Amino acid sequence: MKSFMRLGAVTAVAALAAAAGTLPANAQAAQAADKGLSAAQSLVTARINGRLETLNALALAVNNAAHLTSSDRSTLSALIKGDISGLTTLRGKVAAETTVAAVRTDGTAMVDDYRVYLLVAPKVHLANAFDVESAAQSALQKVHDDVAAKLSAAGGGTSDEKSLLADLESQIQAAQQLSSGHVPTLLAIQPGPNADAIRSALAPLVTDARTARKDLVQARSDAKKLRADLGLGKHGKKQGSGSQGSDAPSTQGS
Amino acid sequence: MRRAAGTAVACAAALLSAALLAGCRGHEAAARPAVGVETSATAGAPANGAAGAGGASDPSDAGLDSDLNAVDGQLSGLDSALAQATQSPSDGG
Repeated sequence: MKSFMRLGAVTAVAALAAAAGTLPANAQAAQAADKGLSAAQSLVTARINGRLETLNALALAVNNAAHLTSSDRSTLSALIKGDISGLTTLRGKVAAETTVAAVRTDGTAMVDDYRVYLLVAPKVHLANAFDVESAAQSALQKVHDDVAAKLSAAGGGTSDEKSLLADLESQIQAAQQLSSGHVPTLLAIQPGPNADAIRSALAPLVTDARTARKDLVQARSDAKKLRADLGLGKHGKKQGSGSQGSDAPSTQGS
Repeated sequence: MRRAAGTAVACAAALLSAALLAGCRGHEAAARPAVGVETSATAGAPANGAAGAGGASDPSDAGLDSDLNAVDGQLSGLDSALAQATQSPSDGG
């Protein structure tokens, strides 16, 4: 009986000791979990803030872009405004989460549902690029028409000038073919979890915009050469050489 | 002789400035200079610019200069837009 009581006392002490040991451990785990949650919230919040800053910068870029069509400007502004609203709401949701797992899910939504860096920024800049290309095409076409009229008035121009003029026109047309009709395709690309699919959708548009740029640079070079030639002609060559300076007689009969 | 050359240079500079300003007013509000920041494809620009200045007294030539300056500004803007569009996305996209 004595030994039984002793055993009971030992067991009780052991249990008390065990209880005393586990309480701090649980508290530590709870503290660690709180810390983990807080760190996860801070991280995702910072990433959302980064996106919001980018979106605000993009909104400014859209407002200031001189050549964006009103339709493209309106579409892009609406997209940016919607994303700012959605991400602001998501930031509030993150702050209210009670588990790290929920914050992680919010972090995934922050990327996949918006694709601010991968898609929205390229949308703004590429749409602007296509609209600038369109404006440059119009300006170069006007230059082409002016130069063509001058050459015609000067007897048709030399074969070099005719060749440059033809190249100017063909470069403008090539640029037009490459850059027209792409903005609706661009603006229709949707965000989602598949980053590679978004990159693949953007890639051909970027390629066409770059190739169109090369065509426009060549067209500008042609136009400047023609302009320089006309400038020289103004001081003698062209005016005094309706027949003499033209190495290929005009077939335009002007 | 020296004075005549100086006068000619001053006139050319004034006409070139006028042509550049006309181009700036034309299409691009960007702060970039309308000429001189282009790619290697426009390496002949200075010579062309001089020719343009020579023709600036003809209104139709001034129009050409203005249009070409506008194109210069547009292509500069285009370079910038394309560079920004193709920046590597950060932070998971």
